[in-house]
Amino acid sequence: MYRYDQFDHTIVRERVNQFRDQVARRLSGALTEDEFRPLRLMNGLYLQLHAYMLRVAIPYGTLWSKQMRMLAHIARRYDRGYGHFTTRQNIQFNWPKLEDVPDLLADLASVEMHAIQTSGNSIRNVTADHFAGVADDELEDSRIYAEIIRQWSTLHPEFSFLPRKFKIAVSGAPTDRAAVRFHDIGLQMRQNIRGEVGFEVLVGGGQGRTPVIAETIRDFLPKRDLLSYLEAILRVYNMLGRRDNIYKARIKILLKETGLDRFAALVEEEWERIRGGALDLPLDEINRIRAYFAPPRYELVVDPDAAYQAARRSDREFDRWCVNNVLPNKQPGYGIVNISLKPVGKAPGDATADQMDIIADLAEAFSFDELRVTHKQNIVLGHVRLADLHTVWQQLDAAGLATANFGLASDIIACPGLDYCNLANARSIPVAQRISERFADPERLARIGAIRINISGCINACGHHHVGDIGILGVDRRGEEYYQITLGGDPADNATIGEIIGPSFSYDEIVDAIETIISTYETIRKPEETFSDTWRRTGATPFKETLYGPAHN
Amino acid sequence: MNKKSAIQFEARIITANMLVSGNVLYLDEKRCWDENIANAQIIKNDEDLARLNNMSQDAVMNSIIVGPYVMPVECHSAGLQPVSKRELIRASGPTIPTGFPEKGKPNV
Amino acid sequence: MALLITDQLIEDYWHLLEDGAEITKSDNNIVSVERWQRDRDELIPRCGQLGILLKSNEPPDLIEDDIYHFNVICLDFPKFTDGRAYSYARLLREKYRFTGELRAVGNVLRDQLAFMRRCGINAFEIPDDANVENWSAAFNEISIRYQGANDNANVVRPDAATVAGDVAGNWSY
Ligand code: SF4
Repeated sequence: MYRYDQFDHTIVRERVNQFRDQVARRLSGALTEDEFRPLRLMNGLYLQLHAYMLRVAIPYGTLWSKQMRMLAHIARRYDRGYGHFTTRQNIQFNWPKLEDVPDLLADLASVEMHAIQTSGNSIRNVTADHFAGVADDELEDSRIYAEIIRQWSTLHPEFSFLPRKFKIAVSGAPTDRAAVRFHDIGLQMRQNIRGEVGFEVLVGGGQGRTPVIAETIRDFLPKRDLLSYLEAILRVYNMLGRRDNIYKARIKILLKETGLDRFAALVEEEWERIRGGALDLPLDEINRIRAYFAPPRYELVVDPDAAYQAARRSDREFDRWCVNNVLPNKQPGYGIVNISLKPVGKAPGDATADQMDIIADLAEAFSFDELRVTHKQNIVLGHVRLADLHTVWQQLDAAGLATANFGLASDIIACPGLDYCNLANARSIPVAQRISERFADPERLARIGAIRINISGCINACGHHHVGDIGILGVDRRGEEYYQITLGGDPADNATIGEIIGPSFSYDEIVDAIETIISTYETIRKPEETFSDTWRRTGATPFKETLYGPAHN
Repeated sequence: MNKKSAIQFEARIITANMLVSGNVLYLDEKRCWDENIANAQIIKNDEDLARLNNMSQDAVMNSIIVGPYVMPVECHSAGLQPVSKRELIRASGPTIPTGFPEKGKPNV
Repeated sequence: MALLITDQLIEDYWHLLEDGAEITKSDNNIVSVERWQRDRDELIPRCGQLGILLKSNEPPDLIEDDIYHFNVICLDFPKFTDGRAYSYARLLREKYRFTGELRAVGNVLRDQLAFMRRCGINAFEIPDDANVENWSAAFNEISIRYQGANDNANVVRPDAATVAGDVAGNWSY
């Protein structure tokens, strides 16, 4: 895992001092709110419904236990004892006071963390495959390149006032777990015919008001040209992106207006001018960063652990959790543990300070000190010996963290919604809670199988509703909370934007509607079909009929 | 807040967030900013509106509050109640448990 | 407006020639792109020096072939969030090799000065009441650069090589 050197430490420390001065100038009245807002946003600080909200960066979702313990400390000291892990692999604190934020940031800096570029019209926290380094299907660990991009994009003098926020995701595996097709730039590692590894570059994807699937702007980009090519794209976007209307300011709209070919030609022209220059990325530098992500010192495990096998046979709950929440690590004898932050009836992605501490302890004791936050708002322990799984499970269970619903109907992605968010139309969290209560029965969950339910409280789509099998979008109907349903979305290789199924449902009706959709799916699916398989085969008709009656066809 | 009690009349008040803490505040009877909507000053006429707006602007200039705006309320026998869901949640906090409810109302 | 150049307030011996104003022989005039395109032939043979103002929607390629005529190029920052001119500055320096005074004008804020300078801007029009010491301090709040820009042209991480050694040992696996 990446560790700060003197260089990183200095930059983060200086940034804290800079912000401390900015806050002081604001509190003294030397800066007006209009002047201060962009400055606080550059530091992840929003003003929400009831309080300030601070979004802390967790680069590509990876952190070590000491950092997780610091997040717990911050939740206790500056907040109300909990935090919210987001779909951007970050964490948000809902109640910090402005006057405390400089101290909070100084505490974060002591463990190599910060809130730089977690908001504002800058290059946001880079995301990567949450199974990077442990999945058996990857070409390379995507975090190496995510870290290189993090450094290049941090406090970038030219790209800190872009037309709009800018998101980059990296996937090192052929199976896309980073939703590269739904980012402003998606980088998908590929091998060319000569066997060299580089990137397919996708551009112009995004969710929000106008969901768009990214298009390929370059089939193969050599690694050493990564940064110069990114700079060329960003420069063209910075100069040409629209600034007259925030809903049209993302790069996806620019691409629509110029067309991919003309945009690509402009990028290539600029890239030809600068490639091989200041941003050339030599192999030495890649290897320097790669060393930080070397695999941990796994033990050689010869036989599958007998005690582990016995525990699975004797303890049904444990077995169910192993089946659902544990995936094979590429190292034999090790597993990837998915800790669900979606217990029945709780806020998706929330963890209390005590839970964070427990997760940190487990990572330290059983997973080489390392943790990952996933865009599904869960936590991953990447390298747990199968022999340790039972102990890990028992401790998680005692902390309310052993819900065996990874990837199932109650593993719901939800944004903060109207309970916290200034932009929301409707609440997300209580809807998620009620759905998870409806589908609390583990037998029922198992019968339904894998399904993705995503909830956003408004069209900004922080809950990624466009790409859920079932997407739920909060809308405002004459001051009342209503929910529009989309079906058939897919964030990954078969990237698809969900289709609106019909008129929206009230807060009271929405859970029944979701139940109807899921029951319909259970009735009409063929063996082995996933939700998207069924959806592609049958289309909307059967779902419309059960939801609205045959007349609505 | 009692949803059932009959609406006696509709009115407007001024709300904002506190600069230092971000807490929700209402411009109150005693000409200062209060967390309790029950104490909010009702805008009775244009004169009130102009006067209260001026007070808000002063509070903005003096770095006490941010983003003041006028919001509609219903006046029930039980007290003032926001009209929109958003303002209801702003007034009474998230509708879900927030960890430490006993700290739910920090001091001003 | 005061003019800040290398941490000092400098007397501004330029003046902006309004589009309708009469062209004089000897003043150092800054003109708009529109004026330049219209009155180019009249502006060139004067004895005063010449500068041009690029609005935020006027990229440098508009004056690509004329850059050698100008001693100063002003880049307008109409509001905090309009960041186009940062790219213009880099293009002027790195693509068009402009070596004269590159001046930020408009809504130039203290907390953006360091970014501007890193993109190649070397003169800043700041409010008359700005405290020079305080504003100049803004350049040095962040002492380290993660990326090559106009101020450090040949780096991914300038001192990476020197610090790589001492981290390898710290690392936690
Ligand atoms: S989707 Fe809307 S309601 Fe939800 S967090 Fe984003 S902006 Fe807020």
